[in-house]
Amino acid sequence: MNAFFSIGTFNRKLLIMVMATSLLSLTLVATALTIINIKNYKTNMQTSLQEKARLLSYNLVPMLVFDDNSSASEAMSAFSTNPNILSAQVFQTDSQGSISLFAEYQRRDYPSPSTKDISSYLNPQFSERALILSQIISFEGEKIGYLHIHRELSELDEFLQQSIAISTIVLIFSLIIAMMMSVRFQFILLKPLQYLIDVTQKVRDEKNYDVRARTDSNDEFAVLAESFNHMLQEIAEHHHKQLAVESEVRQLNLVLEDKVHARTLELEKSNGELVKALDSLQDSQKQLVEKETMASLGQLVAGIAHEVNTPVGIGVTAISHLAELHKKLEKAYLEKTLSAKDMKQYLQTSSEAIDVMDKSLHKAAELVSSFKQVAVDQSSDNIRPVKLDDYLQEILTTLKPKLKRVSHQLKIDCCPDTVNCNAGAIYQIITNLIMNSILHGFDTNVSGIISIKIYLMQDHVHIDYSDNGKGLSPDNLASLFEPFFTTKRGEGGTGLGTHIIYNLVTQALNGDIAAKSKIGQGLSYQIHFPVVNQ
Amino acid sequence: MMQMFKGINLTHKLISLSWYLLCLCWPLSAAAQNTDATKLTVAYLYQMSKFTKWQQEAFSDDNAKLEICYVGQQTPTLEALLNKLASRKSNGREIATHHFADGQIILKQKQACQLIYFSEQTWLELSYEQQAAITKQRLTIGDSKAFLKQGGMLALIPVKSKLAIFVNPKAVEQSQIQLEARLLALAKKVTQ
Repeated sequence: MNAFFSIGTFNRKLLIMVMATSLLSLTLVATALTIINIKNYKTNMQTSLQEKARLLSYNLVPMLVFDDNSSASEAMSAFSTNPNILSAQVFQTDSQGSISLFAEYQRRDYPSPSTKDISSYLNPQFSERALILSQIISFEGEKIGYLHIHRELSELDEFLQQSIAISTIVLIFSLIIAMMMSVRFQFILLKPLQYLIDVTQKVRDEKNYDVRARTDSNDEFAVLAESFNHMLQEIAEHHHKQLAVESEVRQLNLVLEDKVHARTLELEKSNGELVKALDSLQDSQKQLVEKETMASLGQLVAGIAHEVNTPVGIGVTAISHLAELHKKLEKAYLEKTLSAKDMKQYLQTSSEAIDVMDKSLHKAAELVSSFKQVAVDQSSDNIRPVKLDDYLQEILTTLKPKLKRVSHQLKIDCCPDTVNCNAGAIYQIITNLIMNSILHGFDTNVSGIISIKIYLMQDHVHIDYSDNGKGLSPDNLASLFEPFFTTKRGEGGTGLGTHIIYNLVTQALNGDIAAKSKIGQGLSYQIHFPVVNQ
Repeated sequence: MMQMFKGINLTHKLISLSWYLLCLCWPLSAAAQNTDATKLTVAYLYQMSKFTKWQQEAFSDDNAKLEICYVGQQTPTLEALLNKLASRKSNGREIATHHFADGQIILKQKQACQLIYFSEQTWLELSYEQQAAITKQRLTIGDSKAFLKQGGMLALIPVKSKLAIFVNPKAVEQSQIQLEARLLALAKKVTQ
């Protein structure tokens, strides 16, 4: 079926379909009519034979009753005028029911039929060559004999051949007429379609959407043509709109190119300004970091001064007291009022003063030495061996003046290992962490806990720093390491502390830093950086 | 008689024929032959009544019997056959049989006698008027062509050991009797 629809033009398909349909229909009709005719012919044959048999039987009654077989034979011989009767036999039935041949007629070319089972042909039956019928001959309700007739079927064969011949001729003529009518009607029916095809080709070739198909056929093609015209109109409108839009787009593109050019220039200019601003910002940031560093140094110096001041002051007081005792001893010696008791008291007191001075000066010297080392570390990027626990204590020593002002508790857990690292960076990191906790981590008059745990693992120093202060919100935590981020804006905070910590860890120490915090649960830092273990 | 020999081979037929010829010479053989002829005649009379239609006036009423009358010499065989016939029906009517030695008695006694068989010369003994009176509404059957020529309707005449039916069409037409065409077709015509 698909192969059929893929061949030829629509005209050819239509013609083939019409011819096939006609052939099929006519064949079916002819076959049905032939079958019906043959059936009717057979029925007519049966009816006709039955009528003849009844009539003959009626007339045979007196012949059988009066035992006149010569008259019966004479009556049978009448069949000789009918060539279709092959044989006719009359049988007589006696009172015992036995049957005997009474009279018969037989066509010369037909063999004598069997006389058996005559009664089985009471209904007409078609054999290969003949229609066979037995008719009971009865009189006054009493069966007196049978009439047995064989009728030839050659007439039926002739009728069949005639029917087939006529059907074939009619079929051929019908097909010729169907073909002629189909060709004629195809031209008429497909004319609107041809018009439509012409219009579509014109539209395709000339891109002319203003042509219209003819709609005067008043059939489905007219509906198709109207729909096509409607579609053409919409396409034309759309085409015009598209042309207008394309023109507008072209115009806009031209304007846009100018605008883009102008904007590009503006952006280049702005970019230059931004670069300058960034440079300026970076300079400012550098300056601020330097200032912060200087401020840190200032604080260091103040701390040093404060710490050194105590032993030095004790030393000064002791030396002043010793000097006063020396003057009193000198005066007593000159006035010769010096007693052994006074001398002994002087020696005891001077010894104590010397001892105090010695301790104070040693303490001052120790402090200075320590401060000197921290100062050196802070002002340089030198990598040196650092014993971690001692160095942490030195840093905390420098922070004592700050820590004394608050009541926070420091918990230190530091390994005693010595590692090669940038000690100045560690000083600044620890200092900034503790100062941030003191300044920003706790509310005033709150005693908090600051924990510092330092340990060495797999050639990395880990610093776990935490406080149990106010903590940070998630937004503030996300901005913790950004420059100029502070929770104390306008209260002296520069917002560079954690940024400096971040830079020191990531750049000076080549390590990593992470912070964790929740509101009310303090703030913690996890720092680790590579070192060479000693 | 020929029916008797159907189905018998030639030897048996010859023996039977010889025996039959011998019987002809026997004095009693004539009586036996008469008996068979009488049987056949009575049987034909009965069958012929079935092919005949009478006018309604021929019967006294609807339940009236069909009277079959035999005119001729009375014999015990004939009497027995007629009595036997009286027990049958024809065309729905019961049959009554009568025997008369003379046809004139029928007219005198005003017997219905719708079917009358005249044997031998009994018909010829009647006058023309009597014959006409009888044949008006009655079926008359005789045993010779002379019977037909004298105005009788049908005759049962032996032909080749069989009884052949002969008819006088003119007599049938003139009477009020209707014989079925198939019977007339069988009958051989004899003109007056």
